[in-house]
Amino acid sequence: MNPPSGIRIEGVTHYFAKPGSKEYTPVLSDVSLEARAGQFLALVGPSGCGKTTLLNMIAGLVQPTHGKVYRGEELATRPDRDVAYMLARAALFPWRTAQKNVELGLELRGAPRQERADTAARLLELTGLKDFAKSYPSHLSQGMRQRVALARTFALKPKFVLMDEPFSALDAQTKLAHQEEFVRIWEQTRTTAVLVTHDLAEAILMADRVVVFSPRPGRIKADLEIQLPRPRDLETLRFDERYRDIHERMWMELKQDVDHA
Amino acid sequence: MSTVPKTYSETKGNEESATASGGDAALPPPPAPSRNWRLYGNLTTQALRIGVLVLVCGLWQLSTSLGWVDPFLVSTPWDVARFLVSSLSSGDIWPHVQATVTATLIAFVVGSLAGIVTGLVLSVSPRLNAVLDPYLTIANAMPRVALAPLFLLWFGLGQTSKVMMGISTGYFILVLNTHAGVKAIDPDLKTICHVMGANRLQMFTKLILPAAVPAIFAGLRLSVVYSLLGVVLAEMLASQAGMGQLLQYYAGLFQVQGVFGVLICLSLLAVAGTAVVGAVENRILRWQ
Repeated sequence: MNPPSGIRIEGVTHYFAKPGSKEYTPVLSDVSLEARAGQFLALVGPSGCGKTTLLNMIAGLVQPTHGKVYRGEELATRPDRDVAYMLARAALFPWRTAQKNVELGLELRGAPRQERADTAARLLELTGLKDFAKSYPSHLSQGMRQRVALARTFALKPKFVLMDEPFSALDAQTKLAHQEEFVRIWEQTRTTAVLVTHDLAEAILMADRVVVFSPRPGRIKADLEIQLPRPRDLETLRFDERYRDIHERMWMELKQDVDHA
Repeated sequence: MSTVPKTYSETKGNEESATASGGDAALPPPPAPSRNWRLYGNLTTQALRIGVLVLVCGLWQLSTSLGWVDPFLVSTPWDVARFLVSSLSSGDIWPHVQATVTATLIAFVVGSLAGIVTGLVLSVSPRLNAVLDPYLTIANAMPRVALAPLFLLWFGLGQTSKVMMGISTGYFILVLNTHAGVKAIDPDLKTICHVMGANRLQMFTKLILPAAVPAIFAGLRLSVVYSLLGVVLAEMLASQAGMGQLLQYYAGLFQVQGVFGVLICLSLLAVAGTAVVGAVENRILRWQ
């Protein structure tokens, strides 16, 4: 039985074609994983371990060579309007104002003008950008752009939020502010969320569950539920003993793997 | 916010309301930049510009009066000015200006539109692009002014052959620019569109078309000049009216002041055309 809006990955093995040759590189090796609806899952691993590829499979942008990926009851064979995607770069449309960027998804669905404007206003308010609704991305700071992207992500009331290193391009302080903001909004919506990151600390602070991948070809090295209470205040949690304990244990575990490799 | 450290008791008093009202900096901001300076700066530039013109004309006039160069071959600024005044006021030149401008406008609009459409079609159909690419490269590499004799043969001495000439010079610029603009679209934006479930039509109207607009305008600014070039060239080879024909006419009569006069008019037309495209571009591309 699949949960209504969980994610199930069944024995996924994937190969990439090497450009300009007939050879293939293994990217993912026999990955199986099940996330229940409303879970915040973090996929952690070194560059090239296939974690982004796995995210793209959940999004329906990439088909696995072997195995199956389900979103809810449905095989993830193509993109779906229930899925929202956040990238490292804000990827805003430069010719649209902040408000029009937030409205994009609703516009693609043919939502009426008033509904679009209301939703955008609500989310820009939530992300503290109310006064910048009419600004073009070229007039916004990097951090503000990423907040517009965040508002765009939640404007569609998605069942799945997929994120590919969404905080990696930000400076340390802005990063923490954005992580907090995301957790705050996510805790209100409790959508199924998948965060791809190479930052173990970020994963533990934000997610309910952290899955760690080996270097390419990626296989699951560790899978841990993070039993930290919610709502979480990341700023204080950073200095909390429970967090430090989990972080240290996972770090040692990963370090062993690296040492043995 | 003030950078001066405060004690708690201080922040509770009047200072807090001062902060809330927005007048929070301890030191005043720098004075507004002096408008006079900008004005003088601009005036100096303008004066120097006119100075360059005066200098060039003065040297021209001087070198002919002193007999360094033969005024029969290069005319003089004074004669050119007299020619311009007399032909503009007598109205002799207007039918030619009209013929050239009309042909250029038609060539620019038709050629650019066709070029944009071709560029977009090639962009959304990789197969068609792959098939046609070598032919486009050849057609673009060919010196298209060499087609002029053929066009004259096919379309005669009237407007059609010069319009066709203008189209052929402007068209390819728009094909290549539009195509390049679409190719340069940020792949992240495509991913976002895909994931949000955009269909093919929406991909086109919401992403491809608006993303190509800056490159299209860069092409339009060029093609306005190139359309004029094609038209004038066709007129020079053979036509019933037009500034190109007028150039040939005056050159044939050794009236060099007439040649220079027409050249000046042509330059002004080209500059005006570019300026109009630039103004439209500034309006549409405010987001840049």
